[in-house]
Amino acid sequence: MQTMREPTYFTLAALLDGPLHGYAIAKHAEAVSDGRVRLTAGTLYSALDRLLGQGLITVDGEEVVEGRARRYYRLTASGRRALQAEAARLAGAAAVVVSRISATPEPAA
Amino acid sequence: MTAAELTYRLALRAYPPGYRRARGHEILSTLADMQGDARRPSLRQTGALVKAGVCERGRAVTGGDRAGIWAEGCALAALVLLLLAATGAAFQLGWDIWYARLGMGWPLGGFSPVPLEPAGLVRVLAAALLPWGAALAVCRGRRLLPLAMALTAAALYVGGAVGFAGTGGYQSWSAGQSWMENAYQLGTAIFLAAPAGLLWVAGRGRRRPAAHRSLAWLALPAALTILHLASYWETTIVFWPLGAIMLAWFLAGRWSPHLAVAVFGVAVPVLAFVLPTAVGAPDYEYAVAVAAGAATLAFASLASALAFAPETELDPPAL
Repeated sequence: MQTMREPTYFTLAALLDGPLHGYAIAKHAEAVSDGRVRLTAGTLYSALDRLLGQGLITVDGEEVVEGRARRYYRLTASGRRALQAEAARLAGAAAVVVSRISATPEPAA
Repeated sequence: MTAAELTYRLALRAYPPGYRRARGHEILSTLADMQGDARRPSLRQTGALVKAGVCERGRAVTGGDRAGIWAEGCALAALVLLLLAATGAAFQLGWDIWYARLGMGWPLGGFSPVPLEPAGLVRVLAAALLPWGAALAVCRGRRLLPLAMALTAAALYVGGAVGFAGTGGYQSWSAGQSWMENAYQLGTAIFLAAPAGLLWVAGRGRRRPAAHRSLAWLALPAALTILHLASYWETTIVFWPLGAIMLAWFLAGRWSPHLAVAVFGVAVPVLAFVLPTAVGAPDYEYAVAVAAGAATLAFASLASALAFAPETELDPPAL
């Protein structure tokens, strides 16, 4: 399993609560990453294309609202598993530090 | 239409037409949402759009995998080299025929008239037209046919069948001459053999159909040839517009790995070809430069591919 880039990770994370369209995914990703992941339309759609190709997300429906095209994307079962695996990997990586950082002395400046 | 919308629509043209038809409206809608009340186009959004569009074009051509990137990168490099060779060959042919017909000397120095009997003319024509034919065949998605054509043209120079109008009259390859005296012919043969080698790599272990390229690729060298023959431009000067295009490709190569492979594959031999002639270097320096260029070609292409290898998320297109 390859490690995910941050935009990919937060794009998938945005879809945990249910299907979203492109703009909503970008807003959601920005919110849950504390503003770190500010997706542009170019990177967002590149990520969505890649995730569609990998079968991690799927198109859930389309509509046109006030002349604007909205396509909704939904997490697939394998997308959910991939996200879970990545979250576990990140948690494991964090645990390595978190469990030991307080037990080790701070080096002299 | 606002300035922002116009800018984004223009930037969207970086994507392949098919992709634009399928997703263009959706992307523009999302951009309109992201834009909010802002009137001016965002530089960040525009840049990201162009970058993603170029990448998508790369994926559409190469399939996005390593083998495809190498195959199409090498084919692209071969095409550009063939077009340069074709341009040079057409310039030379134009001069040769012009001065053979008029029976007068070279205008820039005391050169001898070019002797061309009918059989010789056929050989010279073949050597001049084969690179054009090969470039056309690459555009049509062929790999082995242009390889054979480029090698045939190279063999015509090394075999002594054709040569150049130079300071000593019409000079063709001769086994009796030192390698320095054969340097121009050898250099041209290398210039034609390099794309043949690239096409061999491009056609090897091919898993998907070779990309077809627009015949518009032939338009620039054709225009340069006509301009050159009509205006008596110094040959080396007219190569620089092609150099400028290559610089643009280099920049595009930062985003699209197969372009980077192509650019490195092309830039080195081109510099080796243009620089020594531009500064009027003696023949042996030219030959050394071309040989060095050819040797560097493989290394630079490899380095470029390795530099882009960490693109772990380079996967096939979704739609």
